[in-house]
Amino acid sequence: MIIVYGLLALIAGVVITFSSTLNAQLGKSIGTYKAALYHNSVGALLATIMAIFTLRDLESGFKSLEQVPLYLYSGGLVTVAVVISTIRLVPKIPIIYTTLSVFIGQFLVGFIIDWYMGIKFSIGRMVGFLIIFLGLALNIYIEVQKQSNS
Amino acid sequence: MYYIFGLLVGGMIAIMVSVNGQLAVHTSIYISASIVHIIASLGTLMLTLLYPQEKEDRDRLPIYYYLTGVLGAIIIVLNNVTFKELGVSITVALMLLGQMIASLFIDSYGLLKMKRVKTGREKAPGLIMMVIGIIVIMLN
Repeated sequence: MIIVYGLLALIAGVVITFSSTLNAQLGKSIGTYKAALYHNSVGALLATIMAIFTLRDLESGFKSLEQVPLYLYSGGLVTVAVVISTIRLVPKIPIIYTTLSVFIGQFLVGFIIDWYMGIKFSIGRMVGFLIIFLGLALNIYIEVQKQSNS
Repeated sequence: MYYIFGLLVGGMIAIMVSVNGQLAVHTSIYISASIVHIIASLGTLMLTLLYPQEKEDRDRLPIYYYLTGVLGAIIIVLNNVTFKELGVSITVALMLLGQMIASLFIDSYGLLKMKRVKTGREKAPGLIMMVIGIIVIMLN
């Protein structure tokens, strides 16, 4: 079962790349914020329609809305913060450092959240992180070399 | 200084995955995706009003460029499904791997109006390392 979920996360990554490539091109044409607005409002519309179609969940879902801790609603705002920060960050430092620093931040906070939610931190997890980091750094290095050559 | 900024952006992405995932646990996959997008829409609407970027649509991009939100909804739904089972670190790692594979694919076939870049074999070792690292984290 874990393989199925793993595959779904992998597919999510593939979709992220397609989505952000299209969105970046639209941003160049009509402005980044407007592109993000189109992106989010179409997403809102579709997700709301899906929520209505799965009415059975909807009833219990809405009932629990009041009991949900307020901070769990911050995801949408964090999305906006990520959009702004990325736009401000990307032109300032070389792309290799952008990618790697974002990656390290993701894992540091990811490990902390996992630990908080009961997944123990271990040397093994750290080793796994380092191997991923090296693989990522290697590929970005190859990418940068290629771009400076062409 | 900007490197710390990069760390913060990464941290925010991890928080986003976790917060959206938890909201889905409390409500439902689709309700949470809907809420996240509605709040993000309001936020970006504010941004467009605060910082108007006067640009005319020079290239007249095809309609599907305006519909990436469909993909956005799919991403959040997948995120919400996997977060619960895999935790944040592994979800984030696999998403990253998926992104690298997709970029490689887009570059080598020149999809989505991107310049065709011959890539491939030299990136295999890096990708394999990432897969090994993810397996190591999953086993620990």
